[in-house]
Amino acid sequence: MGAAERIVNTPLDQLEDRDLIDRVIDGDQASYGLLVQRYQSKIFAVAYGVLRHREDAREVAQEVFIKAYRNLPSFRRDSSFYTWIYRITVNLAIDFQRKAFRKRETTFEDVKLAPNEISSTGPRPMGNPVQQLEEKQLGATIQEAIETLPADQRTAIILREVQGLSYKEIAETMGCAEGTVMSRLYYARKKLQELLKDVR
Amino acid sequence: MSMTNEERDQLIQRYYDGETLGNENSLAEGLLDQDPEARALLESLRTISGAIRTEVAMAVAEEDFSSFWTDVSERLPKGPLTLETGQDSARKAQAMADENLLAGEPQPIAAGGGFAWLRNLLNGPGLAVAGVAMCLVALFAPVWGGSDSALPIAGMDQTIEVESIDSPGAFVMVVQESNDVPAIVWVTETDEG
Repeated sequence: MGAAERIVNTPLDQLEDRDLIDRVIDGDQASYGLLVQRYQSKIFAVAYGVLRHREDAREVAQEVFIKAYRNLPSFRRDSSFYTWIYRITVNLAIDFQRKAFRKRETTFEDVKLAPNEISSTGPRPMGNPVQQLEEKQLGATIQEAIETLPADQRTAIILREVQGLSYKEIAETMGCAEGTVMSRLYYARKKLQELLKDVR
Repeated sequence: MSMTNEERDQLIQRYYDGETLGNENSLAEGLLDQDPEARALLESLRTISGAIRTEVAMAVAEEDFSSFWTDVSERLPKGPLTLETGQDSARKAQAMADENLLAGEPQPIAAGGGFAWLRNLLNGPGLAVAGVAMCLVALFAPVWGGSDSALPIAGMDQTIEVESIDSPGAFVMVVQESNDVPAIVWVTETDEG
């Protein structure tokens, strides 16, 4: 078994991020594969949360890992790797969105149901159909609602709700003060509450 | 203790996020015991969180990551990973500019290739005053020489040609630290066009 293969086969929880980073800088590109596998879904989630488009999010997520790899030697260990890479993600996603300009249909369109579908006589999946409908409608509405938020508020709420980052970590990721994070979350949630108040 | 609705809502938000400080936690719990609106807000925060997490989780679950690393690895630079491998083009441009200066080649700022440090300093976001005619004054430069558009660089027998500079205001100080003898250049705006 080669060194690269051995590293790839090593259980992820046995290697800390910093150990992997050291190996990558020492020339072991396969170790970077472990970091990518560890964070790919999280980075994709943040990118998707900001961009609201899966293909764009995937493209940005790949760019994030390429940019992070190139800049790994300059990564300062005074912050965690995930905070650093989240910051790259946020910057790239917002930059991507700024350049893109285009408004596209979202993947939730196909699950958005009209109210009269509740009386459909066709086969239904297991579970309470009324509840399922409510969840789908809520999902569709929340997606539309998130899209209306300014990028900084949207980013803050995604980092908080999806990634579970603390105010301090969000501030570090977004390059702002903790008070600013709290304010962005407050106004984002207030707007979401307003937009969602009729859903349930 | 009385508080405005906004203060109350922010307290409940911090409580929900686990970001309370000092006695805020007990204060929030007291509010939740007594104030139906505080309880409704907490429930609303839970609903929003659940909806956002579910929505994003669905998108992640539908994404196929099986070729993700392969796609990324194909685009990674080959060879040892050093700062040189990185994409710091500004650093490379700076190095090239320094080399060219030492070789005696004037660097036109407007061309963008040389003196990236100058362009980076002057070309910040929102700086939209383009093509402002500038008069350059070099502090620490031994002497002025050449025409109005030629500037001697301190410590070097070189000049740079300046056609235009984007600047947010009338005064800009540029400090070049990459050479042994630092050059400090004050840029002031004049009415001359």
